Amino acid sequence: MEMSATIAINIQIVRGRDRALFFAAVEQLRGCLVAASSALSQEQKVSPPNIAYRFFSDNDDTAELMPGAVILWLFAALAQGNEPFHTTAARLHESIQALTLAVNGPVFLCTLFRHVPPFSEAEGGEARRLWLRQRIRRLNLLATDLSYSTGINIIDLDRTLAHLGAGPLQTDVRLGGERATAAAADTICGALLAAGLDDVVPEALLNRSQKLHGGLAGIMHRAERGQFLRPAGRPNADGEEHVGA
Amino acid sequence: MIPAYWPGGAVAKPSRGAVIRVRRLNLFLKGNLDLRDSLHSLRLNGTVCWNGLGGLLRDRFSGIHCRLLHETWTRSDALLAADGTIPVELTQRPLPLGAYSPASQFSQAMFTAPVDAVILSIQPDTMSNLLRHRTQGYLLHADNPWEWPQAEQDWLRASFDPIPRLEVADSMANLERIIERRRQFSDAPILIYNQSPVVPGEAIDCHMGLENIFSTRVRRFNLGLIELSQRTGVSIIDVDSILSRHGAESLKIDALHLNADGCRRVAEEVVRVLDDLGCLSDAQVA
Repeated sequence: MEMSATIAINIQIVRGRDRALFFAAVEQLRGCLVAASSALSQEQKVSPPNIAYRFFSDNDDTAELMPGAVILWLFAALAQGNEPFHTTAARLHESIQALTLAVNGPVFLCTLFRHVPPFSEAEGGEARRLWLRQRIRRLNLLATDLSYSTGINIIDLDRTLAHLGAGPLQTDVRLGGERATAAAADTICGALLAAGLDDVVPEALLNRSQKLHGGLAGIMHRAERGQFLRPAGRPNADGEEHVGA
Repeated sequence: MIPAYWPGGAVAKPSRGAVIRVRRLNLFLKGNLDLRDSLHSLRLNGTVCWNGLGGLLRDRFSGIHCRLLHETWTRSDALLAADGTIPVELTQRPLPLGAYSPASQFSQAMFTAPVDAVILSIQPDTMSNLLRHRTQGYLLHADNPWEWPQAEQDWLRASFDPIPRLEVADSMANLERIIERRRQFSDAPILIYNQSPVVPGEAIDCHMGLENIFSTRVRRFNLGLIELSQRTGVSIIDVDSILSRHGAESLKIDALHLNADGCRRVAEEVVRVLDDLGCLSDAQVA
């Protein structure tokens, strides 16, 4: 049986609670690879690769990142809400260009789900909501612009979650809730399979995994039935790395 | 005694011979299927699946009768260029223009219709292609010209040049001029539909070389529309938000068209905005 290399993923974290989302995504990826591996014929058999991932924050030195994929989320830019948009755009462009040079792997940028909950008057009311909605839309469009100016990949959480709906998922831009986390994690897993693993996962295994995942159609299918890809379980300590924020 | 009919209020049964007050809401729709399906009616396979604003208002606001005047719309630049006169050769040549009749393409009703509110959509500007007449300069939208008789196709090729798709800045500048012109006639509120960029099945991860795909174009126009609303005070019917809230997968038939449930939710938002703007309490007493 051929051995696979290790998949290395660096994940930018804005809030501690986001770890759950990205942990779920990594586990869905692992589950998908394991299932795909077991479905391969004897001649094609490869063992599923280990997945090493680390969380990092904006303040961390990019030189410390593992060679491999990097996942960013626009939530970091949304969190800096008072920054003028053109400053945010310029800063993101610069940091992403630097990242693409610093890491030897694909860079992914997650979009923001456009649904914004109502705010109380004390929190700024409808004006705050409209402002936030506009900023989210500008950031999501910026993600597209960044993709075609720098070649980074987009993980379009907005697209998947808008297909499913904030109401049915009981979520909003913050991606709270079990179903939203599962759908977002499934989307991240699909994007990694589609564009991030060609160099480290043998072709037969990758093809089988992509087929098993099924892309957006697969996500919709699972969401309808409440059957998101099953995680492989708690990660094995071998080949794992958990550091950062 | 004259029974009172107020939004949401109880409807008193009129006694024999009593005068019934019916408030009429006149709306002018300049747009295409997104407006017609949600506000007039949606027919699928010959069956009326959604009965539009009239039914919704009847259910919720007793005594309001809604009258919709609908004209198809090719694009904002064509509307500004039209002066109400149909070019002579179009009157002499029966072209298969389908829903985009010369009367609607060169109409000025948008600026002169005496209505309680005007409802537009950005869809014509994001989607439609126009041709410019080589010598007379007028703009024409030829609907599905590849299905026209050969002689008409040849005439079209010989007489017209295609013009580029509208960019966001040009579209918004045109819409601003349209809003100004409309407001010179009346202060009736103007509502504009945005569009949902969700395309069922779209799965693009890297956008390099795909700068002008439909979803990105719609996202740009939606942002432009927000800025237009901030400058002019027009109301946005945020179709994009409605679909993302309830799930585009369950409300869309394809990239452009909504199913009955989608149409209902959009119409409900139109009613909410019209009510906020006072159109439902100020409607004309017939």
